[in-house]
Amino acid sequence: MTKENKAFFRENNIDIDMALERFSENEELYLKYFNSFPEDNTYTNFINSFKADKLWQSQNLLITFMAIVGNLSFTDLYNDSRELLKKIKNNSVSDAIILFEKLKDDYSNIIDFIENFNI
Amino acid sequence: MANRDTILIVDDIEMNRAILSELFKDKYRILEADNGYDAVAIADENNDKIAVILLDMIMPKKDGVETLRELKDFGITNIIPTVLMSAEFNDESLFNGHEYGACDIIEKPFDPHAVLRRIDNLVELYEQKNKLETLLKKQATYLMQQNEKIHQQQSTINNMNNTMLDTLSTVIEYRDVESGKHVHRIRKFTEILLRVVAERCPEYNLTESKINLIVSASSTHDIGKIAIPDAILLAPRRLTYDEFRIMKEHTTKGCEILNLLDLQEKNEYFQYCYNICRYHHEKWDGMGYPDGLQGDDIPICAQVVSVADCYDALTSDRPYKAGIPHKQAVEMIKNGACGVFSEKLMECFNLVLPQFEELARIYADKAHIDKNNQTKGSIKAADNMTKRNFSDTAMSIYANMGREELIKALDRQKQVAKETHERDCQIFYRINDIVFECDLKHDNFYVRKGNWEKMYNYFPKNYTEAVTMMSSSCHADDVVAFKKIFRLSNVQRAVDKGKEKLEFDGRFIIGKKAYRWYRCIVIPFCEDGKLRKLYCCASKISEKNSKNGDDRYNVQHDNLTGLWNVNYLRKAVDDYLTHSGKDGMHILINIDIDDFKALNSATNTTFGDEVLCKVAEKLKEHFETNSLIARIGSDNFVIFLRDCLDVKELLNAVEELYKSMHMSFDYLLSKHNISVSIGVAQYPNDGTNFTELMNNADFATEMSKLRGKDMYLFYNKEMRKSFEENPSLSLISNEERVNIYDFKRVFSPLIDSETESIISYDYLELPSTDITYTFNELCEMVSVADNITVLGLNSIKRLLLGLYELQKDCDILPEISLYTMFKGIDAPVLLKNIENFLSEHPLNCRNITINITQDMLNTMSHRELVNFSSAIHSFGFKLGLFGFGLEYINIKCFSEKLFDSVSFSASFISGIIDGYYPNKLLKFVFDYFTSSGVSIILPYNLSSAIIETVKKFGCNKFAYHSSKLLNLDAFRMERELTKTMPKAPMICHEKYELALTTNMYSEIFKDMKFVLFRWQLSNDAVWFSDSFKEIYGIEPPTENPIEYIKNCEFIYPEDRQKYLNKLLAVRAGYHDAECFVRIIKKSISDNYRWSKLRFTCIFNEQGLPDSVIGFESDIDDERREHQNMKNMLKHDFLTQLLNKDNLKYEIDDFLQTVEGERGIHAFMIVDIDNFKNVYDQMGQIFADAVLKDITKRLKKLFREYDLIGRVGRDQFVIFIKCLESNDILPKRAESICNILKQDFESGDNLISVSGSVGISIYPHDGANFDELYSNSKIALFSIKHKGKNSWLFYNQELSDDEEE
Repeated sequence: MTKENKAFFRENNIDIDMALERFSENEELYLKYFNSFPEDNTYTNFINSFKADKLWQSQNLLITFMAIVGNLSFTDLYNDSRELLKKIKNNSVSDAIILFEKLKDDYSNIIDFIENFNI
Repeated sequence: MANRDTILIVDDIEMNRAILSELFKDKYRILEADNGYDAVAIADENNDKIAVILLDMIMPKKDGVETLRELKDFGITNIIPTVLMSAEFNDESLFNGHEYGACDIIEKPFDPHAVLRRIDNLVELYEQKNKLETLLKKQATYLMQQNEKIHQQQSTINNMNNTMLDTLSTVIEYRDVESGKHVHRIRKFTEILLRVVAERCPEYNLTESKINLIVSASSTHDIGKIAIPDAILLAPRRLTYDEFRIMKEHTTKGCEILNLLDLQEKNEYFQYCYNICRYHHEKWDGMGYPDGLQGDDIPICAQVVSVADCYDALTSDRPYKAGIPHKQAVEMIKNGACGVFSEKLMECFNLVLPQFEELARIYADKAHIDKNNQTKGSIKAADNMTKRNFSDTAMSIYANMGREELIKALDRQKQVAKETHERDCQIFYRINDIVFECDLKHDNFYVRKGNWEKMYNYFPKNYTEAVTMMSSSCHADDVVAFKKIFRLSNVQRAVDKGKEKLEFDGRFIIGKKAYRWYRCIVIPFCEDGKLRKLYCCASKISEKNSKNGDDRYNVQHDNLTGLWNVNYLRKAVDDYLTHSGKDGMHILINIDIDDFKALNSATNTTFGDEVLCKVAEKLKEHFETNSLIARIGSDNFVIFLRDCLDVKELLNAVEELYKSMHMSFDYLLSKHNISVSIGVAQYPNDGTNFTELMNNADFATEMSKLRGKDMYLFYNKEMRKSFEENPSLSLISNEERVNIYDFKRVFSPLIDSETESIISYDYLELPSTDITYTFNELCEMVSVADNITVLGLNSIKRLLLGLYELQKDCDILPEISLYTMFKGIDAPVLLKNIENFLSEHPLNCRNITINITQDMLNTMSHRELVNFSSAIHSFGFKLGLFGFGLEYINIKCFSEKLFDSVSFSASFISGIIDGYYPNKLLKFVFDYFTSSGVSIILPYNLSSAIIETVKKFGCNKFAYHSSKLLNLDAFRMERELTKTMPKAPMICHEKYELALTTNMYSEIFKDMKFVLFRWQLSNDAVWFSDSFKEIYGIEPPTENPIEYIKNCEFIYPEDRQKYLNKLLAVRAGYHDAECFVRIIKKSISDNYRWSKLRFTCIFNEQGLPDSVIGFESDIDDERREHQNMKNMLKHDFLTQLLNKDNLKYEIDDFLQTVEGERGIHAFMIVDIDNFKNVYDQMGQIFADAVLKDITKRLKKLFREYDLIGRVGRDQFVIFIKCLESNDILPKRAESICNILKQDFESGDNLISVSGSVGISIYPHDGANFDELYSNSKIALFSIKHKGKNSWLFYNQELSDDEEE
């Protein structure tokens, strides 16, 4: 991965250095999961269960989602989902909805970034 | 990593598995599972290879916790560390994770370095753990093998031991290794019988292992015979009484031998050996030896061995007899010829008879098989029979004998009868106390055991005398029963009815000691149906074991602690004091547990009960049985200590008791320490019966409590007197102060060595360590004790050293008085010591007064006193006399100015107050003091009457002492005094104040909470101490104080003029003045507070006023306290009702008002009938509670507006104000009578209490308290005379009747 590419990652709030360290500097492996992130259905499942008010299920899905975005070092998404998890746990529905919207925005930003980013 | 080289990663997200695989791929073989089911299967399959399992917490099919639980069930988590992973952990998941064996938690997103490190550590840790466990297992296996070996060796040793014991026992039995299979047979008999007992009597819980042990232990039953001389053991004849006594000792000797054996530990086997050895001659009916155990108190092992031994003894040959046939032996055992066995055991015995017979045959000794000895055996068997079974069984044997054999047998029978008599006597010898025999036929009396003469001082000639003597020592309540049982006609009747013995439990007093319970057994012996002999024994028993003890026990004892109750104690003490204890010295100790109520509330009642029981136990331990110990209230114990030999013993007993009562108890997690307050009253000084002693001990206890608890006090009359005269002053002494200061309190009574009576004091003992005192410590010391008693030279030196140190910081020493008790120190030694001290520590002594006691003075000649005084004065000290009384004094020593001051003894002061001394005499004495310039020091708590008296005799030069034995720095003293009470000016006050400069004031008063000022009259300038601003919240004026005070807003307007008047008076040349004003002190509150102002005029050399020194101190708290105290003194201490004086004052005061003068009011005297009985029988504590209760009820009946007072112990006055008519009064009086009508149970007695009311009406029957009181009393006496429990209005006729 070129320096430029890495900078580009960083601009989009992806801690690429940490991510690569986590993947034992195996860029190929990282990119494999980076590129396949849009196909992962954890996010969609979470959205559905959250909308269906299945709080317990959505909590678990959100934790799984956190683990994925955390490991991929999608900083914004990780922070969003952490905050959201707190609100869901505390039953703060109105706050959760605001954060939910932010999560959606950040998610689509990442998806755009992945789709536009071709290595 | 030889074996465990694999890591199992379980996560449903592929990426997570990939990250971890990538991380660990170089170190481990990777196994992956994307769900919990697969994970468990893989882990189970590879459990010997996997080094660690990484388990995701949240998985769709089976989550991490579930998987973990299953892994734990498989035992995998024990050997393989399992780590949980998740992006979020909550408390529940963490708890469950750890619960099911998770070793660690890893958070996502992963921190690769941390994960690597932690997993490596974990793997290494588990590797070590597994290694250790394997090692441990190996060691355990090895140990088990070793253990097995030890068991085998033990078994071999046991077998050897058994063989050795068998051999030893045989040797003992026969003194012959070769002969006899006795021990072997005993083992066999025991085993057979035991197995049946185990089956039929499950209550004995005889397991197989126990049976084996008992069988083995049975060999040792006669091991003690090794200590029996051959001459006795092998005697070929019946044993004499003395020989038999020695023979019986084999049971106890055997136990001694067993105790000496070096058994590895005193194990179960040893216990069986011991029990068998000791108890195998005990009998079911208690007639065996050595301990006379009864029934199942005899261990079953011993019972079984006893049967086996009997059977073997009967059926086998012994040196003194030949064996008898099986059938006869069985008969003898069954009919009690060999003593009584338990019915159950006999049932079991019946079942094993064939086996016994067979065994006896198989293992018979050689000699026994010889059938030629059959007849001889029969004769000898007959010899062994008792008189009782002779006719039943022996005759049948004898019937088959030849003539010669029969004669021989009859001769022996005579011998047997004689021996039987002796043996029967033996049954009494096991009893501890008295055994005697009465030969009724020859009217003789023999004491077989016990020292009758010592107990009764006379040896009776016959039965009648003996019984008379015994009945004289029998308790009055038991004597009838005693006489009944010993009456010969009754004994004969009992014999006729077939009774073998008569029993009686009763109390006897032996010597001068207390009554004790004895069980008397009378065993009659008859000839031809006529009473010939009585064997009697009396043995000591505990009361609870006595036959009628249960009921009596409950009536006389406290249920909880088992101690005596108050009723019994009263009776016992009074009995004792009127009879045998009349001339002794005894004490009654009353113990009250401090704050027991609080302890109960903080814990629970069960715990409280536990504490009480513990205290009771401690008391029982502490006092010998000669004392009576009772629990008379919830936390109130009383001990009556009889016959104290001397005062020292008494003091030790109380001191030890006090110390032992400090106990600590654990309740839940907290520790509770208890302490006690103790009051002691002495017989005969403090009372001659229980009630008096109890009242006084109780009073001393109350005083202990009021003075701060956790102490003991000896009652004395002075204590009560001073309390009654001035309760508040008696109480302020110790309560708070003792807790504050760390000086050792001593509540030891002082002893008058001549009369050996106790003079109670509490005083402060100086710490024994060799320390000096700082000024503050000196101040503190004097504020914590009533007296500083300097006990020895060292104490004096230490005090002087303290003053020496103090002198360095202070130009002028405070006035200090040292009160010395010079018993044991003579004057020259004291002077020498002081001289030595002063040579090293130059001390300005002019303000120090050395006070010597009257006692010391009495030991000196006049010349010695003159020399002593002159020496003391030459050092610079003043000399004072402490405890002056007219009884001793040589007044000349004052005229010669040997003393500078004198303080009066308590008795002298009492004499002055009571008017005991003629005025002329007092005047003479006081004139002497005045003319010789001697200062008189008075206790500060004296009533104004004595001060007035002293003044009346022209003595104006006096000061106060007592709780302030040291006259401290005047200003500091002032501070102390404002906290306690007003005080007259000190002798040296003026001089001292003059000595102080303005600078010194500001230095000294920097931190003081009062204001000081100096008004310079020449320029009208005024200086205030810095505290002015701090206290009043404003800047002080610098000039013209008069104008300032006129307009001063923080002084209460009405008080400003008072302030000014006093100030102006002093400016005009009055020596000093003082006044009380109200001032707002911002530093304390916004309200007015009472302050005391004192002004002193300072004169210049021409004798003209130069300046005025003023001093303002806050006395608000003190004033309030004073008010409270006044209030307290107005009321009866117990009921808080008005006392007689104040009731009189209130009523008379009211009758002088318009409302009082014009209205109609009722005056009722209420007297409680028979209340004295409540006091006497239920005790003061109870009576006080009743009075309080009555007070409460009376108050409810009347308006707050009415006046109620207590005018006597059980007499109340009710003054009903402003009646509209008298009609209401009968109803009220009736209600009062109803309230007072109560019954109280005291033991068997019922105390009925009622009330009588005498009524008079204002203004008709009297115009003031005295008249109304006197007329109501007439009415009251009249109704009492008529039968009590009613009410009556006063009328003139009653007065006339009374006059008649």
